[in-house]
Formats: sequence, structure tokens, C-alpha cells
Amino acid sequence: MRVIVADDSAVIRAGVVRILASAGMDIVAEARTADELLTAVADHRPELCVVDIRMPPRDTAGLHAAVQIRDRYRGSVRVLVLSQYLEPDYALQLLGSGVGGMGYLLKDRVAEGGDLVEAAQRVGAGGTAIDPAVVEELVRARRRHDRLVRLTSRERRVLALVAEGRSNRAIADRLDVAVKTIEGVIAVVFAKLDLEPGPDANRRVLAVLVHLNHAQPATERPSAWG
Amino acid sequence: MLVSGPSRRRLTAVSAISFIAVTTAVGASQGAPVRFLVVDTSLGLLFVAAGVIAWERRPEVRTGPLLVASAVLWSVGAYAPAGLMPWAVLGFAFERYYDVLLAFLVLTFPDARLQRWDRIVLGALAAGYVIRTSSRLLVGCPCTGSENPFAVVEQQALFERAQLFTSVLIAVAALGVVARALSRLRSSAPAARRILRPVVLAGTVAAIVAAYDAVEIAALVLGRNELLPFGEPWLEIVAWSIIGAVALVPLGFLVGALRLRLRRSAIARLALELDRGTDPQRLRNALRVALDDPGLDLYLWSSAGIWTTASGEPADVPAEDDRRARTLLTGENGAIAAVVHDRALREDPGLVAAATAVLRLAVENERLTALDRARLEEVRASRARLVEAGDRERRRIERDLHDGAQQRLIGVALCLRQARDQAMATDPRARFVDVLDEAAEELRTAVVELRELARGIHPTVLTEEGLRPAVAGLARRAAVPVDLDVRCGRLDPGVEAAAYYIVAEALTNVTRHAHASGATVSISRDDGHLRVEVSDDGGGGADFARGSGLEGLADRLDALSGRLEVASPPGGGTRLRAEIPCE
Repeated sequence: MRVIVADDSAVIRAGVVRILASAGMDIVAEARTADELLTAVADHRPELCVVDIRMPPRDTAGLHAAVQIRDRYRGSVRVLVLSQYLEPDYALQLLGSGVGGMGYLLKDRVAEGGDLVEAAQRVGAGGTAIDPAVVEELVRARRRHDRLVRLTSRERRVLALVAEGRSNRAIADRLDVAVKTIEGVIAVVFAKLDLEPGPDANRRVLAVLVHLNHAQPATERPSAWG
Repeated sequence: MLVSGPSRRRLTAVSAISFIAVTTAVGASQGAPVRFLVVDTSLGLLFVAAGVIAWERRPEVRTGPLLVASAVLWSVGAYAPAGLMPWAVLGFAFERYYDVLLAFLVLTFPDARLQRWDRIVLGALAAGYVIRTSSRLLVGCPCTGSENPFAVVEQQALFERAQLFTSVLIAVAALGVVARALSRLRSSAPAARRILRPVVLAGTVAAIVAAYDAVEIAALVLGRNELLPFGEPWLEIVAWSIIGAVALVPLGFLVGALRLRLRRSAIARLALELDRGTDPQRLRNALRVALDDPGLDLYLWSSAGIWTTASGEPADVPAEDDRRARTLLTGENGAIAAVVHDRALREDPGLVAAATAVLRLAVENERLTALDRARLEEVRASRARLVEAGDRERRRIERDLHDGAQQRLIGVALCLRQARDQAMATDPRARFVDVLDEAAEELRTAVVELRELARGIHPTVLTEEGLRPAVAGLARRAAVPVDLDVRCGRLDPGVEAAAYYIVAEALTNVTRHAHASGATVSISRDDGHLRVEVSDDGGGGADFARGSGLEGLADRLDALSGRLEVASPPGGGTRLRAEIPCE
């Protein structure tokens, strides 16, 4: 997989490059700023960009560059944003209308190479990856509103894994049950939450995230997922 | 002073009335005709009454005492026909002296100075009476029909010549007074004219009667017993008309003095008017009304060290000329204001002084208010700058934490991971692989803590995305379910920060004290204000006074000219409301 890594910190860039390279990915370019990233993407047309949310010139320049790449290349260039912010709003902005190939991972995960590689692979393959901590915050807030009270703890666990962007297969593996079982649980959860069981995995992630976030109002920009 | 103003007035009035009573009694005892007695006494009392009223109402002008003095001098003449020696001679010698007082009054009313020609005609008038008195006292004449005990010579020719001369002098001087009074009236400003008119009318009548009286004496001396070629009853009518006209004299002065009072009450209205605001144009217009001078202009000495007009344009104060006069107001630090007004107002310096005193108060007040306002604004602005600087500093620290410490920690974690990978490759069971894992775990915790710390210091999402997602984050992390209703777009960073910290503080308090099961946050924006309201369904009775973060919030809101209200009745939940002005 052809990858561009963008981060203004040389140490982190080098670390991320090393981890991804050792997982067999082909690092075609590195960038230190949002502008360099956009130029590099135009030049190399990579399959995946791993982008620090915080790059010059502004605090969330990486996020804005990611949204630009998503809109410009219509999913052909995927973006995994590494973020210092536990901020669901940013994750939802990134997902947009759920075209897939987008990921929002907390930066401290990079030290656990496995998480980074797994998320990079999933996003690179057109899937979605949302940091478990972000999902957890949403689930916790939602539960406080008593809206998830109808779900069993296993159903909640499955719902969180869906929100993180994991496939039925991955969830089944992680919970050590059959895929059929997971499919059944998901159907029940969706029915309980009045969610449409969509065929598209990425839209499913978005639907769940929006539902979880619904205890809170929509963000200012409806276009973020509309 | 032994006697106070009111008692002095009373004493003087009582003395004057007693004097009149005595002259009346003397006249009556000598068999003077009753109607003369009645007329003389009534007119005398009329003078006293007018004088007392004028004195009472306008103690600061001399009209009152002069009218009372005129009453006494008036009744002196009542001795003339008394026939009782030596009073009859004294009365005869000193009659009509009140004419001098009335002439002085009409030429100076209410407190003007005598002009050159005024002094000449008054001097002539006074001289005429003094010479006449001397001649009547010192020169005896059988023609008077009574014996004069003061006479040093008995000489009819001298006596008659003296009477003729003084009569002419008095008549001319009296007409001179009329001329001066009329010219004064004509040259007065409209406002002054209104006050002067009754006085000048009264004075003119008095002077013409004096002139007529003098001419009559002259005619008598010249052997013409009847001045007017009419017989009875015309003479009777003329005599009574003269008495009626004389009766008008004290009334004229009284009306003038009272009108003066009315006009001065315009100063009171001026003060009231200025109480409502001291905009310079308003000030000027109020002065124009109070001084009845539509051409009046106000100039103010500005802080820039130049004169400005009432509308604020720089201008020089015009020089005085024969129509305009200027009155300068000075304060502790020199000039404050200049009023350019009709020269005629100088005739009533008391009025101008009163108006300018009020003006001075208003201008000084305005100056101090402006100074206060400027200082308050300065304090508010410096407070706003402090808050702003604080916010900037928070953002800087937050950035430094993210870009510095956090990046480095993650960098270290990456290095650790590399070291671990290499260690694993050589010896997976090595003891230090576990140590490296432990270190990596510690680092991770440190990074998470750092992230929370940075967010607490200043949430990036607030700066980057605005109030709505930032407040949503607060609501998500609150201990109780929070219903959110945020209706506003991006705002000034200071306003957003204030609203954010208000919600943060309120939700922290809900978590800590309220024992609430839920809270509501609503933020809306209308007519130039951002309204933030946070309420919970807890126990209420929260005491925010002591050591709560609300104090800091109140300061923050003050700096933005906002308001903060907290209501926490026991058992009634807690409601915090803030209102922040925003464009």
C-alpha cells in the first residue's frame, strides 16, 4: 500500500514511518505541513495518508486537509487522522457522509504499533476506524441519558465495536463468537435503537456514531455528515 | 448686624407707616380737607405696601427700600398744607423729594449702573430740589401765607426768582429723566424690555407729574393762577387723573420687580433642564431660553486646549462689540466656557451671574462625568485586556503542551517501542522487555493525563469550531445527563470563552454539590446579547459566594459588560444566567 505520512514532528514521523514500513507499507512521501501534504497527495496519488491533526499553520490544519482530500479524491485517497484530541466532533467531521476510507485515531496509539497498523490497514482498504476512546466517551454520555438502557452489556459492547468501524468478522473474532451470532446481535441492537440496518459498513458506522452523539445537538455544520 | 433681614424690613415698614400716620394726624388736626388726607395717606400706604412686597420678594435689589423711603418722603409733603408751624414750612421745603428716588430707581432698575447722562439729569433734578428747599427754608415771603421761623431774609423777589428757577430746572430735569428712561427701554433686549416697561411707565408718569407740578409753581409765580385754560370740572378731573397716575407709580415698580422675579425663576428652570443632560447644544438652547436671548452662543474650552462651539466645531470666541458681550466662566484650571450674549443683559448682571453659575455646575459636572466615564471605560478595557491576555496565555500553554510535552512523550513512546521490538527480536524473554512495556504503559497514562490537562486549560475545539461542539463536550463529560440547546454561530473569542467557562463552572458545580439528576444548558443569541442559562433539578441552596469559580466568571463578564445572575433557592434547583453583549 502506498502511503504518505504527515506530521510536523520529525521524531513521530520517523516512528510512524518505521512502524508502517515494517508492516509492509510503501511510504512514498513525508510531509511537515498541511500544504506539503496536499501537494504530495497530488503528486503521488497514494492510497492512504496518515496525518497528524495538528500541523502548521493552524491547530486542526491536518483535519481540514483530510476533509479536503476526502472531498477532492472521492475516497480513492484514504486518510487516517492521528489526533491529540478526544473529540467526537472532529471524528464526525472527518467521516462526512460516510464514504468510508477515513479514520480518527488518538495519537498515543502509535506507540502500540498494532493499533496503528490495524487502523491503517482498515482505512486503507476503504473501511472506517474510530478510536475506541472516542466511541467510549459517546457511549458513556449516551448511557447517562438512559437511552441505551434497553441494551444488554454484550449488545453495548458490540455496538461500540461497530462504532469503531470494525467488521462483523473482526467483532466475532474479538468476542470469540460466531459471525452469525454477531449478525444477530447487531440486528437486535439496530432494531432496539430504531436504526436502519444499512448494507454499507461505513454508513453503518456513521449511523451508530450519529445515534450515540444524538444526546448532543448536531454540530454547527450539518454538512459534516449530511 | 443687630436685626435680621425680615425683622429689619418689618421695622422699617412699621416706622414708615407710623410716620404716615403722624403726618395724617397732624394734617387732620389742622383741618386739612378730608379728601386730601385720604388721598395722601392712601398713596403713601400704597408706596409702603409696594415697597414691602418688592423688598420681600426681591431682597437683593433696592426697589423695595427705595419705595418705602419714597413713601416717607411722599408724606413729608402732607405737612405743607398743615399750617402748623414749623412743620408746615418743613413740609413745604422738603416736598417731592421722592421724585429723586423714583428717578434714580427708574434709571437703574433693577441693578444697572448710572450712565453719564443719567447722572446729569439726576444731578440736575436733585439740585433743583435742594436749591428749592434752601430757598423755601431760608427766604421768607409773605406770599406763602405763613410765617417762616427759619428765614434769614424776607424778600419776595428773591423767593419768587428762586421758585421760578428751580421749577424750570426741575421740569427740564424731569423731562430729561423721561427721555433717558425711554431711551433705556428702547435699547434693551426684548427680555429686559418686558421687565423695564412697567418701571419706565411708572417713572415717566412720576417724572411728568413732577414736571407738571414744577411748571404749575412757575405759572403761579408768574401770576397765572390757572395753568390750564379749563374751568371746573375739568380742573378737578385733571387733578384726580394726576392722583390716579401717581397711584400707578408704586404699582409699576412692583410689577417690574415681580417680573424680574419671574425671569429669575427661568434660572431655576434652566437648572432643572440641565439636570436632564448636559449636551452642549441643549445647554446653549436652555441658556437662550433662560436669558431670553435667541442670539446667545456658547463656547466650551475643550480638553484639546481649544475653543469649540456647542456643536463641537473649533472656533474662536468672538470679541465684544456694541451688540454682543461675553461672559467667561473659569474653573480651577482656567477657562471652562464662554457665553456670548446680548449686551443688554449686562443691565441685569445678577441674572447672567445666576445663569452662568448654573452653567458652570453643568459644565463641570459634565467634565467630571466624562472623566469618570473615561476612567471606568479604561478600567473595563484594562480588565478586558487582562482576561484576553489570560485566554491567550491559556491557549499558548495548551499549544505548548500539545506541541511540546505531548509530542515528545509520544516520540519517546515510539523510541521505547522500537527498543522493545529490537529486544524482542534478540531475546523475547529478557527481563527488560517487561520494564520497557511498563515504561510504555506509564507514558501512555502520562499522555492521557496531559491531554485532559490541556483540554481543561483551553479546549482547542472552542477556538477551532466554536461554542456548540465545545459545550457539547462539557455536557458529554458531565456526571448527569445534560439537555443542550445551543442556538448561536461563531462569536467573538472573548464572548465564546466567557460562555464556555460559565457552562463549565456551572456543570462542575452541578456535579459537585447539586445532587441533581439532570441539567439543562441553553445558549441563545438575540438583540445583541448572548444569553447563557444553566439550570439543574438538584437541591438548590448553593452558596456560590465562598471560593467558587463564579467570582472569576463575574469578573470576566464585567470585562465584557455582561451580567451574571445566580438563583439557588433551597429545594428549588440552581439556575445560573449570564447575559453577554455581542455584536
